[in-house]
Amino acid sequence: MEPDHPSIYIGSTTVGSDIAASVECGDLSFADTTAEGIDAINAAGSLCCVVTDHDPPAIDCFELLEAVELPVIVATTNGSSELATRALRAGAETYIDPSTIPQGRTAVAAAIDHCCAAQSKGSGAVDDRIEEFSSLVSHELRSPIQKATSGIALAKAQCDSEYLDEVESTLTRMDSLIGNLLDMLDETDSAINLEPVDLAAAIDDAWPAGSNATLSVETDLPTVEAEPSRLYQLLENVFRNCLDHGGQNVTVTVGTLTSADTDVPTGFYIADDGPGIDTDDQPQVFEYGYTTSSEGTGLGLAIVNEIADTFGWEITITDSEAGGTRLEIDQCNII
Amino acid sequence: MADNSDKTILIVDDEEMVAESYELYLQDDYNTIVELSGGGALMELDQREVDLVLLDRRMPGMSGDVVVEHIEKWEMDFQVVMVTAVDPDIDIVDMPVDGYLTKPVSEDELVDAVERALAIKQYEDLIAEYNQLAEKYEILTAEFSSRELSSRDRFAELESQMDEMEAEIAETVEQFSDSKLSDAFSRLH
Repeated sequence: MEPDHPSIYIGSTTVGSDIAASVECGDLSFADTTAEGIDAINAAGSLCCVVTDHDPPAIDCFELLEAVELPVIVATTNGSSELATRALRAGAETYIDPSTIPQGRTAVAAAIDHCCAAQSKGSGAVDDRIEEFSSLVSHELRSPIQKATSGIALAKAQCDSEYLDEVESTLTRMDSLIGNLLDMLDETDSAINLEPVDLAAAIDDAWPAGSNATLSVETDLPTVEAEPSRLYQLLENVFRNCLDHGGQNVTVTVGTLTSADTDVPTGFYIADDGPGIDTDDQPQVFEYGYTTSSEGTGLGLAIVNEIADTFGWEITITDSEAGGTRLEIDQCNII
Repeated sequence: MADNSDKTILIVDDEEMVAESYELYLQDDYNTIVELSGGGALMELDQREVDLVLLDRRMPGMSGDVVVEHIEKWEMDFQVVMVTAVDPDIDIVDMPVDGYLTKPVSEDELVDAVERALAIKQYEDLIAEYNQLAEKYEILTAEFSSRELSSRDRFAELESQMDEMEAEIAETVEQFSDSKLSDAFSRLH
């Protein structure tokens, strides 16, 4: 499960500490002034919400509401009904005056937990819809393709026609397109859980079973921070591309990229001895729909690029020493 | 590959054309029966011995999921391979099936899945039989000295039978085209 994002409390550290003790989801950090709080917000990757007093030094809660897009909980110790109305109208997530309710600081903590829960629920709902759509696409498109493929097989048993082969080839391409479409839907899944992954083992898993192609792997591949399922998809797409373009007897080599200065591993490369890609065409290979093959969908490497981007990796394409293609995947977080 | 001409495969798919194509792929090497509904499949299974069921998952009326539940409940001893357009999800962990193919399937994919499932069944049967013999071997070697046993023809037959079965198990394991599965089984026995 994705860890809860932290929140920031702007105001007295003593009050903030009391609230933090009751917060259940994520950490609560503190900033004495709104300016410090905004700096912390900008520096943070992602936050759940901001809690602020009405009038901490220099910048009041209304200026803060304009400056940030996060949910803001106004928790003032000197409130009024007029202030509450103004804060909520200005876009505050909620308004609490802890001094007017029993266990006020616990109530502020509960409001933070509520924000976190709403965010998780929102993200989960999107994932659920994607999964539902993906399942629908999968079944409703693959079933008729199976039926048509079966019809072709039965027709071939009765007569011989070159048109049947063409239709069969078209169906194979459609199936491939659907597969790539589902991969893309999977890519939009919002939850990314990075973890250490043994690259050598991941490559072994993703290498197509029963292939006549040769896989040559350096013995000391690093462990990288990635999400295993997406890394599998990235590797599978690259290997499939090598075999599709280099032929079933292609040799694919995987090795480590290292920093020029320190010789420290920074990523990995996948190279083949296939026909390669023209230098002029290389910048386009990661674009959606780009393909040089009549059987290709032009989505495989675009998905590879998306996944690499998701991990914060840098991917480039160049010529391999054997005259084929070499993909370099750099800026990996090596564990 | 082993001779499977005595094996019977029940093909269950509500799309007649799809079921017939599977039959076309398999009929040269196996006996095949086609059923177009989950209910019909259960009636067939109640009346006939089969070795493997190819089962569609989403069918009008009784789904493939319900069919496998009945098969498990009735403790029927054959292989089940789900052939479906539904992508596998984590729920297949608890599904009592021996294989899962995602449509559309090619002739090679279907034939490979059937051969693999039957080879796994053969392996399981051999291991069960071998374990029975090994158990008896353990009992006898604990009870008698090797000198006493060496003079008993029946014990020599038992040893020979175990050697033959070990060879047969190794041969079965080699049938698996997937080296990972083959390695796993090799480690197991």
